Amino acid sequence: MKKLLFILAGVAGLSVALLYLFWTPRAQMRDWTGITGDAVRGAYVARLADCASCHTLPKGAGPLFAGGAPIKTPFGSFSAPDITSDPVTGIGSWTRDAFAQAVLNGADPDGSSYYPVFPYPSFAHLSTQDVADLWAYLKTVPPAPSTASGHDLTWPFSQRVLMRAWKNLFFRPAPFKPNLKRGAAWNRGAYIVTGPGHCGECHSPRGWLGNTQGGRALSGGIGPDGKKVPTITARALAEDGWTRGDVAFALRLGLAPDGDTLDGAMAEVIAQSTRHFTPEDRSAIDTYILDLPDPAPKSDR
Amino acid sequence: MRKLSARMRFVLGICVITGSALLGGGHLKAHEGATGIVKERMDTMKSFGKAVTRMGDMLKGKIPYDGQAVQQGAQTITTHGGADLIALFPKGSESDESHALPAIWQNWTKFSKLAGELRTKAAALAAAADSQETFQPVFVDLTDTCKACHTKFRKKEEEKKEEEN
Repeated sequence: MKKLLFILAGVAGLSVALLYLFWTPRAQMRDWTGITGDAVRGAYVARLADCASCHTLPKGAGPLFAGGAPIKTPFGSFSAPDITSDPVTGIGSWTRDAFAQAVLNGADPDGSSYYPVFPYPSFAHLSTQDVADLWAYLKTVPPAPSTASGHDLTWPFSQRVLMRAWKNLFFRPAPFKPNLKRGAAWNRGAYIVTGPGHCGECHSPRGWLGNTQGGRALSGGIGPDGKKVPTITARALAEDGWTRGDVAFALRLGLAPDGDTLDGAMAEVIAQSTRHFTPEDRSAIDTYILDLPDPAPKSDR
Repeated sequence: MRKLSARMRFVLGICVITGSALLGGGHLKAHEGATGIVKERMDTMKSFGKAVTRMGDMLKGKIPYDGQAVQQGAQTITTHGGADLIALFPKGSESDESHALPAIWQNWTKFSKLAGELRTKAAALAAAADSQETFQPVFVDLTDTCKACHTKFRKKEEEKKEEEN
């Protein structure tokens, strides 16, 4: 009798754990009331999010957003899919709601969950307006058949259903919350860095299940080429001699304050993304990354 | 203060040496260990970096524009770029301390072309040093050559650190 109770308790415990892990993952909904997408602004959001670096083959080897080169991770290699308006291999047949679900919650229209190599934990912070603009822009991207090479993952990570459990363990989707104690530039920088810019996806260390750890944000990680990526916390940068304006300058020209060049994956990010930001946005990132008070008006270029 | 015995001084000395070796950053450590031609080219690159830092600070508005300093910096790169720079990379000059990738010697034509381009662009920069307006685009163009060469032919700083640890 006692033995049976033990078994029953064990089965019940296991069931609760499995239910927790494989229950419908958290998702956020957005209210589109009064929001219209603008394709021109959306093109800029695509720059902020650097969609091209992953979703386009490098060196003009394929059409824009038709699918990218393999991204190396400890779990295997991923290839970012076609996000052109192609109705078959792209997202041409999607609705705006489906797109928002994908970007903000990592949920595919077919109900499956994305691997977090697609940085939806960062994109979850995107403003509703930015999502609408991005969608308006992507609809204008000419359709092109997929140039992605598909994922090549090691077991058990090849089992996509596990991503449900991953989300239940680590994914807490929420819109960006400004810090009311800081100024507008600092908050704009915080939004870009933690949201569309998804800096932490490479610059933050990951746990053994590929989860980024809040407390160690930006303290160095692994890049898309499988190589180490440096620490970019305010403290580390200050110790290396970075002062106001240096981050903005590096994001524009790829030069560190010691006159050295930023190479590797970051050179690609600068060329495809940060070089095209507005000077105000680069300055905002500078303010946030170096954790400085907002610059006095017009003192920055 | 009580005088330290010879042995104490020896032990203390060892501790200081080990301590500074352990504390030294990967970059610094690499450069300190380098000798001969490897050290020579690292010093050359450092002198380029110094010139670029100064010009970058002018572009950022951290220091006022100084055409003469730009000309001097550009001259340094012109003098030591091109053939002089290529001569600092003889075949077989790879070493543990060096950041140079074997790709240099596998793509020698491309490498020497970039080194030559550096010299040409630096000369153009010296000629454009008169005003900040003419300086800016030429400076940006020059740094593109730095990037192109570093991306192809230099070991990344982070990889270097990993090797040493």
